Parts: sequence; structure tokens; C-alpha cells
Amino acid sequence: MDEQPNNILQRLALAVFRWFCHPDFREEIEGDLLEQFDKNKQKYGEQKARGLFMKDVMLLFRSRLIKNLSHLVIIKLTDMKSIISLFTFCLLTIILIVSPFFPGPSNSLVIGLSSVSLTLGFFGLLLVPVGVLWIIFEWKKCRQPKENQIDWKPSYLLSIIATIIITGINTIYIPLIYQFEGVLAAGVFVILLCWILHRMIRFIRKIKTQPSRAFIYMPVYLIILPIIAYASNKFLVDPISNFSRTLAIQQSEVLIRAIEEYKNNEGTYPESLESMKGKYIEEIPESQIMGVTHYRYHKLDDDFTLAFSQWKDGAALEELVIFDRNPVSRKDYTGFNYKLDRYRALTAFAGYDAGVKHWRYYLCD
Amino acid sequence: MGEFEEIVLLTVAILNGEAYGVSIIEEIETKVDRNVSLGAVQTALKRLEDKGLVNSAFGEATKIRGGKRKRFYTITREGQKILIKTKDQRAAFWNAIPKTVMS
Repeated sequence: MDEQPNNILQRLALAVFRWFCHPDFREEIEGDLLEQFDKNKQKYGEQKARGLFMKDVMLLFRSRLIKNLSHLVIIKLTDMKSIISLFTFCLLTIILIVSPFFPGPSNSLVIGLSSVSLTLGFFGLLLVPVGVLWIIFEWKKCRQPKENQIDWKPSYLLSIIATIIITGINTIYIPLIYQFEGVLAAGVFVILLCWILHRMIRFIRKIKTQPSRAFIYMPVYLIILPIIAYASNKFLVDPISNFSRTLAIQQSEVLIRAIEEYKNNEGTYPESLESMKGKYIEEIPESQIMGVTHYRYHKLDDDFTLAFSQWKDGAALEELVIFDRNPVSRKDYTGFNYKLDRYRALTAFAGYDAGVKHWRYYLCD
Repeated sequence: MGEFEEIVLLTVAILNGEAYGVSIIEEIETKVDRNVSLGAVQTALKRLEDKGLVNSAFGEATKIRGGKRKRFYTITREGQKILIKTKDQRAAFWNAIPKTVMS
């Protein structure tokens, strides 16, 4: 056998072997692996030989052959800084996504930043293929012989594409954040975007003016951050929003008691929550969830509804939680409208029991 | 010395200068009729070398094996002594078995 394996999995296995095997033993064992594969191919056929090759590589992961771990620690101090920074950004993304469901005073800035982070998990996925391509070019660049000239053009081009995608997505989002979450959230978002663009432009210039053989970590960010945002949205938002919903429902009990007391004494339900203040309730309670808006009260003919909403997904989905003794029947969920505020009338497309009597939650787009 | 190390050392002696990873595996599989992994053989060889029971040296680079050189192992004087000692010890055990047991 005078060639390297063609199969991608085999090449990957070989790359893993080269990484963990002690350099002193690498050449002879790699040769044995390839010779063994060649013999197995003739004996059992290519597919089985490939399986045996993978198994052999796995069974080579032994302390004696790794010998000591020092050669595995190839991460330089600068790499370490990049990895810590990447880890910090991942953590920040997760915190921003789940923060609207944490206990605390209602905060539109938190909701705005969370929806931006969630967007990273949707439109941001466009950055992943750019990141993958970029990593391939980076890998090739790092492996080039030192006498060759550094090929900085692919990195330069891909960094420009990434900047255009980031700018495009976020520019669409600025007016939406301004409309839904207010000027503060929009302002912070603009500042954040300017900072990212400033860093990106400096970085793009540096690629061209000071080309380096060192591995650039930017494509790793482009891959990892959108995936982290997507996974957080997929696996964390549901359980944590159940928790915040239940807590907000519990906080509203005092309000419902006050409304019923008002009805018993006055013979009718209050026109607004404000009209109960002083005699029936000291202060209108807050939900005590950062991403949950204040309670909304609607007087009906001889009944009332109490509602609050929380974002489920920064791109489109909002959850409307309603206390209603006569909830709409399931077949009417589609087209069920609830006027949330002066901008938005939500249309529910699915409804679920919230686990507390008379409380249901509806997913709205 | 463990049982597998002993088998590997014996195989190195049998192959007489032609012992390297793959040839040792083939020889063991033929003689003992059991599957042996490259990892197990290489680990045993490194242990034997650390104990001074085998020596090793790279062969010439060839076009086969992706151009990777073979590392050939040969048994040392110390290795030979250990094998003889082990053989004698085993023989002593065999001789100690009452004839009625093995009849």
C-alpha cells in the first residue's frame, strides 16, 4: 500500500491516531496500521477491513502508546486565550437566551438581548457553512510548508462574507427590537452591532496587511456560537419557560383574589386593575420574571381574563398565558386573537393546559 | 512478565530479526489461534523494550505502508535468559503434576 486511505472516516481515524500517539512511535505504528488494513482488505473485503482499521485505531489508545500527555498539550498561550474567550461567548449566549425566564423585575432590555441571541440560533446558522469553509482553508494554511507564501485570500474573502451576513441579519432586527422592546433595547443592540462590526473590520484588515501562519479562531466562533444558540433554544427554553410560567401564575393568585373580592363587594368586576388599588390591593403585583410582561386584565360581561406573555423564540414565537374560566375550544385556537398591546394582536395556533386550574397557554405567531 | 508479554517475546525470538508489529500479529494468530490487536502487541513490545528484553531498530523506508518504516525487534541476551527461566519454571510445574491427574 503506497497511498493514504481514501475513505474520509479512515482518514479521520488516522488523524485522531496521529494526534494521540506519542511522536516516537507514530511512524512505525501508522505503517503497521496501513499494512494491516491492506492485508485485511484482501482477506475480508474493503468494508470489513475499514471497520477493523477503526477498531485497531481505538484499541491503540493506551497509556503506554500515548506515553505522556505533554505532547497532547499543544495549545499555546494565545490559543488558550482564544479558547477561553470562545467559552465565555458561548456562556454569555446561553445566559442571554435563558435570562428572560429568570426571576427578577420585568426588563425589556433582557428580552431584546435574548431575542437577538435566539436569532443567532436561526439566521446565524447561515454562518456555519462559511465557518466550515474557512476552517478548511485555515487548516490548509497552517499545514503549508514554511517556504510557501501565506495564502490569506480565502480567509479574507470568507471574513467579508461573514461580516455581510452578520450586518444583514442584524440590520433587519434593529427596527423590530425598537418596536417591540423599546428604545433602550434597540440602542444597546445598535452599540453591540457597531462593536462587532468594528472588531470584524479591524480583523479583516489585519488578515490582509499582516498575514500570519497562526490558526485564526474566528471561523470556530462562526460555527460554535450559532449551534450553541440553536441548541439552547431547542433544549433549554422549553423546560425553563415552564418554570417561569408557573412562577408568574403563582404570583398572580393575590391579584385574582382581589378581583373576586371586588366583585363580591361591588357586584361587578373592576374596569381595570388600577381601580382596585388602595381598597382591595396595595400594589399591582409584578410577575417577578424578567421576561414576563405585566399582567393584563380584560373585563368581560360577567367575567374577566388575566393574561401575561413571554417570548418563546426570538424569531417569531410568543407564549400567551391566560386565566380564563371559559377558554375557547380547541377547534377555535386557530385565528384566536388576543390584543396584546397597541401594536400587537396575537394569533394563537396551539393551546395547552398550564397545569393550574383555568390557566392555559397559547403559542402565538 | 505477563502471559501475553511472554507470547510476544517468544514470537520475536521465532521471527529472528523479522519481527515487527504486523508480522508478530500474524505469527501469534497462526500459532495460538486467537485474534490479537495491534494496540496490545505494540504495548507489549514497548513494555518488553523498557524492561530490556528486546531491542529495536528502524528498517529502511519502502514505498509500501504509506512510506512508513518498520521497527524491527530482536530479543536481547536478557530476554533469552528470561524465556529459558520461564520455560524451566513451567517444566517444573508440569513435572510436579501427578501422573494420575494427566492420564
